[in-house]
Amino acid sequence: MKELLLGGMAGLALGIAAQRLGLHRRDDLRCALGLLHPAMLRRLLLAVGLGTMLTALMMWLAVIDVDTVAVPPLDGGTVIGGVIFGAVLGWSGLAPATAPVVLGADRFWEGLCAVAGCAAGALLLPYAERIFPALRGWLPASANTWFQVTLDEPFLFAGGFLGQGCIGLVIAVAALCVRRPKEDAPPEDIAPAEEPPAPEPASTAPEDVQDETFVAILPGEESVVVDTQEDPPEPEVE
Amino acid sequence: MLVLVIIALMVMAGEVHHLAVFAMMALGAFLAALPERIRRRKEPRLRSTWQGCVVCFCAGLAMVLAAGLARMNGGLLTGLMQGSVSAYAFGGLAWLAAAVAARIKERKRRT
Repeated sequence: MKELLLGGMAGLALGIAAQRLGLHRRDDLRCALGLLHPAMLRRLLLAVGLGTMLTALMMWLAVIDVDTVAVPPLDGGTVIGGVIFGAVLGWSGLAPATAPVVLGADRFWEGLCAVAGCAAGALLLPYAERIFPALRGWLPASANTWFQVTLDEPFLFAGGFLGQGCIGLVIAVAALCVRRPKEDAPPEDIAPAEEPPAPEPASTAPEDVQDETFVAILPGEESVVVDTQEDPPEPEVE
Repeated sequence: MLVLVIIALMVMAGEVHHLAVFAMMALGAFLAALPERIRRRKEPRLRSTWQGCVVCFCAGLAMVLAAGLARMNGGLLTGLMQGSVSAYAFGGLAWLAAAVAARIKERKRRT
């Protein structure tokens, strides 16, 4: 019961935080991954960096039991799985963790289909495990951590929890180096236009040019029409 | 963002039921989006398309299987925070592939 209650409360808060972060907007997430939307990338990297620092602190304080830390091995499955996961993530703008957020916040049916897809994948996973060893075997497995944060697993560098915290600090600093967007983000729940409206063809014929329109054609550039009409004078207040 | 980090840590530190987390995330997102929905109730809402539904279903299926192949189901973020080399390798490769795919998709969408 405690697990359900704690999980429910954590899920509720996670859903609110993920919606406020804008993770339910698939286009935005896709642009962030493609380095086209620096604001969200900055937030995600900052979250990972701060989380790494806090995790190191909580491990050092023994709030997180290091005996329960599971380190998955690095093998061929990690490489193939990572590439497939990333390609699908970049193409769809959806992650398994953001599927319930899409379901609750934005587009119900698409979110429901995503959750159904995740459930179907979880159901198929035991059957797929039969072919996974062949895909994993081409690279020898090694389960390492960067620094010694567990009791048994091998580690690459000395430094313990302090070194782990430094990794988080580096990620957070890298996030702060991501440039800020110059414009404000578009309002929520407004889908970006699928196709920009086609510009009206500008005619350079003298009879088509109005009195207060200036047509500038630069070599190698598209024609630019500048309306030089002044704003109407404001009515005087008596 | 800080709330996200702290709650993720809470999930890591405590023993919680992951299905409950998954289910309540939808409710949390719904509640968070509610004020905006009420404010824009007279404006046309976003509608799901069948193409989007197919993409979402296939994406969910493929990503769970790919994460299972890499033994990263539900463990990518915690692996990153705990300094697991395989989580960093998985995250780096996934990001590279996602960046390429996202740029191709965006270019295709805009043309």
